[in-house]
Amino acid sequence: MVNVKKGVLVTSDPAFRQLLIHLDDSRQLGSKFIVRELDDTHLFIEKEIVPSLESKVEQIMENMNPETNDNK
Amino acid sequence: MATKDRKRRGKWDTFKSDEAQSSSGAGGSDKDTAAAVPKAASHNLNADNTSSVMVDEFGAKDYRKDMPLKGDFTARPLWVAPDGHIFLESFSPVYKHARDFLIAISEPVCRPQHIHEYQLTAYSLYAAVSVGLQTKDIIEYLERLSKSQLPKGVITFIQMCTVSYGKVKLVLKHNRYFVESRHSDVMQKLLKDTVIQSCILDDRVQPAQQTNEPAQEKIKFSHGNEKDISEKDGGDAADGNVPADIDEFYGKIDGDDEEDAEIRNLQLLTFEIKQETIETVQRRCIELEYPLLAEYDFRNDTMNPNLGIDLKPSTTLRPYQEKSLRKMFGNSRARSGVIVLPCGAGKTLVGVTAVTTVNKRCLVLANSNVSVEQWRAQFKLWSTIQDKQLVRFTREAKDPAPSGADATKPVVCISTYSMVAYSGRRTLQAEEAMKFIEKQEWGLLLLDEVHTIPAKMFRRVLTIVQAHCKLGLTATLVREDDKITDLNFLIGPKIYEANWMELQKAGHIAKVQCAEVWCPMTSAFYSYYLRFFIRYPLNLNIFFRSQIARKLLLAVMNPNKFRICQFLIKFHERRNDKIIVFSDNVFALKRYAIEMQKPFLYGETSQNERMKILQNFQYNPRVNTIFVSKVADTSFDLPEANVLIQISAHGGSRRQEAQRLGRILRAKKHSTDQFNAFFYSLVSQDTVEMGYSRKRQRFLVNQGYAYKVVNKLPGMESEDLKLATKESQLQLLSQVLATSDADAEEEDIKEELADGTIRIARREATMASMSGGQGAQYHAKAKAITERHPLFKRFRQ
Amino acid sequence: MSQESTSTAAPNTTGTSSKNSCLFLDFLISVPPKERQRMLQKPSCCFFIYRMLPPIAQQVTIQLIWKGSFPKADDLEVTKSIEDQVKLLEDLGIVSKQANGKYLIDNDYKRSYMYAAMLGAASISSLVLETNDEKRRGKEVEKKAVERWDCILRYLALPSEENTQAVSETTRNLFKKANFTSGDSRIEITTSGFQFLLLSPVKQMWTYVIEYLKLEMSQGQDIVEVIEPLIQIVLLANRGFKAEKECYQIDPSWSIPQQELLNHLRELGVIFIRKRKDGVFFLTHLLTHLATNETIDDTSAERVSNGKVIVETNFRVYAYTSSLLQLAIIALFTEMTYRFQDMSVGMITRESVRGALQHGITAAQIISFLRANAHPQCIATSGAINCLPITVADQIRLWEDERRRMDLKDAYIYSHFESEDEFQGVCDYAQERGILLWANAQQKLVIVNEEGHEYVRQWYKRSKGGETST
Repeated sequence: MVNVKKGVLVTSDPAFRQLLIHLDDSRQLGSKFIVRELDDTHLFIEKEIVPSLESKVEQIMENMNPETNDNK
Repeated sequence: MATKDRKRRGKWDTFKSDEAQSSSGAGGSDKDTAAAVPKAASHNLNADNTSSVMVDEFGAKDYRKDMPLKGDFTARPLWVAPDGHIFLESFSPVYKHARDFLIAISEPVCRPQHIHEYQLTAYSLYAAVSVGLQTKDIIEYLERLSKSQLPKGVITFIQMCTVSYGKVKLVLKHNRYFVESRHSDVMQKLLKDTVIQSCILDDRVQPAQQTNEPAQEKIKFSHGNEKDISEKDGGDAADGNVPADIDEFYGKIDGDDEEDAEIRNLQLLTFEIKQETIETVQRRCIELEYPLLAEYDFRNDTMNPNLGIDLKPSTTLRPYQEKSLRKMFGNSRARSGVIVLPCGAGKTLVGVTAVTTVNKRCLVLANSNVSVEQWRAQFKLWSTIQDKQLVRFTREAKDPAPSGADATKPVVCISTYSMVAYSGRRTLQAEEAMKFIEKQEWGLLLLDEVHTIPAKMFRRVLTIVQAHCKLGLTATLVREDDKITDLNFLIGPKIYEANWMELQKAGHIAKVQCAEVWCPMTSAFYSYYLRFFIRYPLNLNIFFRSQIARKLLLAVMNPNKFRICQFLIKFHERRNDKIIVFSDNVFALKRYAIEMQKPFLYGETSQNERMKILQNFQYNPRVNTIFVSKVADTSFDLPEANVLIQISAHGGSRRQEAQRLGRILRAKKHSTDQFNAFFYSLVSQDTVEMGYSRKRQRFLVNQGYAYKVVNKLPGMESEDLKLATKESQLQLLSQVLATSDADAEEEDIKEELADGTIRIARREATMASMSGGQGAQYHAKAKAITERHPLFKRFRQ
Repeated sequence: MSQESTSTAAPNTTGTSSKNSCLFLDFLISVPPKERQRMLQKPSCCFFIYRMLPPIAQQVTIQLIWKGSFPKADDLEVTKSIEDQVKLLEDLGIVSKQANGKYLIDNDYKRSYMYAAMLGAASISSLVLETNDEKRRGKEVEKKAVERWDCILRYLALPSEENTQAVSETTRNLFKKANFTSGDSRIEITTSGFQFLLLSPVKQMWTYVIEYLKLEMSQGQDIVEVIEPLIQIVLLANRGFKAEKECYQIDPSWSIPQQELLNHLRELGVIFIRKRKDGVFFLTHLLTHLATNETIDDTSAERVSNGKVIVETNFRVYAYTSSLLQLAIIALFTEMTYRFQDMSVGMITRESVRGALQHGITAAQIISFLRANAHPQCIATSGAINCLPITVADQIRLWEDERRRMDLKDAYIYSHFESEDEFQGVCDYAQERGILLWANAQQKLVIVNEEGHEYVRQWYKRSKGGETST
């Protein structure tokens, strides 16, 4: 019998998708959140995780792009 | 705007810590440093002011009250902020009047197209004084150029920093050392000092025999039309928009800096010191805050014989080369100091000219053997020097140290820093050569690429070599260790610094398009990348180091990066360009080069092979691309190259980036408005490479270079590139994962040991690990590696 | 290789969806037909509407008025754009399509237009010219006018106590209604408000006027009564610079809403009234903003030459201005570092731009603002586009893109289909209805958007008698 689940479809580039999978694997958000790995650019995830995922991603991007405009 | 406030505080914090660092550097822990740097040098203009600075509603330092505008402010080009930052409008008609002056008194912070920023520092003012500028002239001219009145703090700072500098000189005349000054108060102070008293040869102070000083004849560098050049360069003073008071002063500032008439009328006081106490006197004077300006009156040095060489009649200097030399020889003596010119702008010719001008024994120190060869060639190219007057002293090319009758004849000796500074056992021949160097009284010590030399090695060189005058040459006065300040006092102040963009506009250096190419990580590589630790832990032990090295290796070996690199090479080879690919990681270097069938060159490559590869690159139309490691960062001259692709770099080193750009800066034949050279920095997206890349670019961006971010390369789909399939990418991944820790790390810069021995033990071990362990298919390739440069051999036939 | 798109996307006006890129015409479309018809009976209104029309629409009306038809174009593209313009004219009630497929021009419009065309722009105005009186004009009218307008923008950018008192209650009310500000006791600028600040002066002024008209309309005011004097005043700007030296009588018979309008135009700085009892008003240079055809506006040379901002390749920003307002706008996306009397220094950083993006400002808006306000020096050396270094423009866009690395959509996933047919059925149906987000035949998975779930449920009901487990 067909199954239905509510959630969130994530579309991203492959590397970014990999980052999300990494967050999922390492349970950095406290729990697993990926419902399905669909293809190279899509994931289906739990809706509840979205706020904490967004802030985590923000933080990671921040770390990856340190401000380098300082006067020196 | 709570975030703004937080931000501000953060800035302030870093600022404070910077300051703390610099003052501890000057006054604290490191005894050695403390002794060599005068206290005044650690003064920081910011420190005196920031506590009371108003901050406006947007979080900016609000200097409106401190800087009321003059009535004719639009005609004047500068804002001089109380914290010592100076902003210059490059489009002002008075720009030229201000530019040379600012370069003499302050440090350039950034010089892009429209507005240039400078900063007054204790060091920059020291440099200003040492090239002959007087305190009151500095203040007066700055005042005239400024749109507002000079803030009081700035005036005080200039006075404080300049008052004690440049007043006393150490002069070698007729082979006797004199301390000389026209400031009797300063002389009194020195003479009262017991340490100095003990060094005086004859304890009477005599007024100098002024009658003995012949009217100094102006020094000329090139044959012919110096006048024309300086006039052309001096600019259109007749411009109607230039305020009269600025124009009037300009001649004074720009002209040869003979001492002020007023000061010249004062009696010149001198005392002679014992030769063996020079260092003591120098040190003591620094402690007394009157650092001695070392000047070499080479014309009156009769003890040391002249080389008797000159520039060839065909040799001509460019205006900026001439200008830098004029600063060095401004008062008919040779000043010690550093000349900063972009790579490819002809530093060597400046060095050669300095040698022919001083015309005494000269020791040139470079940082690699290849560079030694290139210096030798340049001497022969530009000057009338004879072969027998050139002595090389490197581990591979040891010309015999002159002996017998020749021992006293003046020569130009070229060697490397590591050779001279080497403290271990030497071979007999090397020992003799060293004795020769130690014994000589060198007229000029020429220091190539000064900023690359560890301070420690530097000090050692300076204790071994006796030289009357030191000239440092460099492209970038940036050091990641901030030891640059030491150079000021070890060699001398910065004498001249050229503006990159202006040289580019004038066609003296190539017009380079810089691009940061974003290479998306493939999923598989990124998946492994993420498994290693993301952040640097505080204790950087071996485990974490290897984790980081692995991450970096995965980022470098990213198949998309490989493909983009290959695409760019194909693209540029079709245009008949000459391409150098840089990789700090040797594993990547070899892997890329072998896969693409290109010759490569790194630390282990022997001198012989290096020269051959370079020659092939230069002359063989079939060798258009070479892969090099960081050994090629400096000093190799590759005049043909016009494309540079960087696939792996050393962290966030701004200097390395500038140095590498310099590899393609030599002006190209077809000088048009178009870009004629290309610099690509390949960066794996979403990895630490991104942050590093931005940090590396900072120096060049402040010189006015703009990096274009490229995240799409049209035409890549239709190109036949390797690593196209998932399978081949995964295979590469497994090979990368199977590398040893040592391979993952970047190449250690090996010092060329003085003896000519070079330790490659560590590398051999890693070679073994590379060919072992892996699958059969890779084994075949590994075999090719163990035999050195198979590709190169093919080209040689 | 370039990130640069050839056209600079003009920032979308907020509040009204500006499909014709002319706020005035958009507003006119929204006016009830009865009122609009009354406007078409006024020569001044007709003439002004004509002026605000895009060039092709102007030609179409001219052809219809004088020839009764307009020629067909051969070029497909031109035909398409003519069709669009005709549609606009239909929306405005100026032309209507007959049963025979021919277009007919509105009679009122035709009559009014011909009347106006005969008399000329200025003469159709019923405003009375007074003999000039330098005393009543006062000094520095132009400077004061600019200050007026700045006051309004400043209130929006920096709603401090002081700035709040500098604007009328209507203005405060208007910004609130337009959703440019929020909060009652502590006013705060909204995303739309920020976007408003980055618009060109022409767009800003029209936005204000239209919001004013909307406000009037929402209060049951007869819109024609207000719009007519407005248009008459705006048309005066066509008399050129001379107009600014002339003064006009304030008709004592004007209704209260009309007097009010005058007050607002005074607040905007487009007219100048020294004292109310003078009974006259003067025009200012700012009025030309309202007289400008918005569809042609935007990179007008006039604004460009007034630019104050230098952006360097190293992301430093130098703003040659002492205007608090300009600095406030620049500080929206710039980290300010130095403030001098005539110039301020700042730096565009990732953090500062992200701050702006979080406020809802777009990269395109920042870029077009910086271009529109580029210092003449930058334009002279690099041209109207590259006056903002490409690398900086690219980087600002990249910072925006960085925030879009993942796209999230609420959705429903369907798995474990009982048969290939069932999978295919749902898949096809979802595709048809436009609710399908993703599907894969091998994995037998279908993902539909949030609204889609209901449809799929109905599909199951219809096709199977409906048993789905949720």
